[in-house]
Amino acid sequence: MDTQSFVNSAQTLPHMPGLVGAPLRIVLPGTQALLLHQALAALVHSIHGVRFEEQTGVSRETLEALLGELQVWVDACQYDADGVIIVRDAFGNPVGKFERDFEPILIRALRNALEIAMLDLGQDEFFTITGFSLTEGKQLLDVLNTALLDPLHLGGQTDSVSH
Amino acid sequence: MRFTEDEAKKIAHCIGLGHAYQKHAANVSESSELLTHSSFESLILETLLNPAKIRKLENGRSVFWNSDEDFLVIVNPVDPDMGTAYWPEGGFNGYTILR
Repeated sequence: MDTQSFVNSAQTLPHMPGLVGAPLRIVLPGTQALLLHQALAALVHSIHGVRFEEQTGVSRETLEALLGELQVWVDACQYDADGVIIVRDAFGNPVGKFERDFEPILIRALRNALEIAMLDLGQDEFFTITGFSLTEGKQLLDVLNTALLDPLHLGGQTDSVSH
Repeated sequence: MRFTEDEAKKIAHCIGLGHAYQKHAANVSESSELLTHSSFESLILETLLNPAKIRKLENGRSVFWNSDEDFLVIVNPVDPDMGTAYWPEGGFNGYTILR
């Protein structure tokens, strides 16, 4: 193990390893961007008793700022004659894209917020309040987790380990 | 999106007897008295019939806002409970931000 380089990294990054680092690019199709917006909105505006720092890793104000970024995207989307946001085409495929660089700690906060919304709203309410299924929520969790592990460049590696 | 009185009564009954009561109504009453199923259902019905605001949402849902009670009702036709009803933490923001 190259302890020297670890020590150097730790000195330049004063927080816990992996909590901070270079911004990572998140690219979400319109449907997943809206799901993230709705889950975050539920956490900030609907669910009672959230302990933001403890449960998401960031303050309520930071989550509100993230929600604000998503809100700008949501407001810029197209809406039909009934005022319903359009995030799918006639075949149900996603329309639009949300693309942004976030520090890992913020992606982790978004991931945590989504997870809390899924667990709190549960089978009874997740679809009713967000408009998306828990399965779609899990797919988005996977996307965010994959983005967090992007610095490891796992994409091209095989799963097998030879002994 | 407006419901007839009969439709609204059926929806209010479903939501009032569904999961929303235990999750949202049983511990929210400001008087610290238990809000009964019947009064929760009445509040939902009042909101459906006389909303301050109404909006359609994605996936066939719709939301009704009761400004007197800071209370909202989401009607979801594919939900066995027909939707949910609650007092959002963020008040009116909890209504406007729904899509």
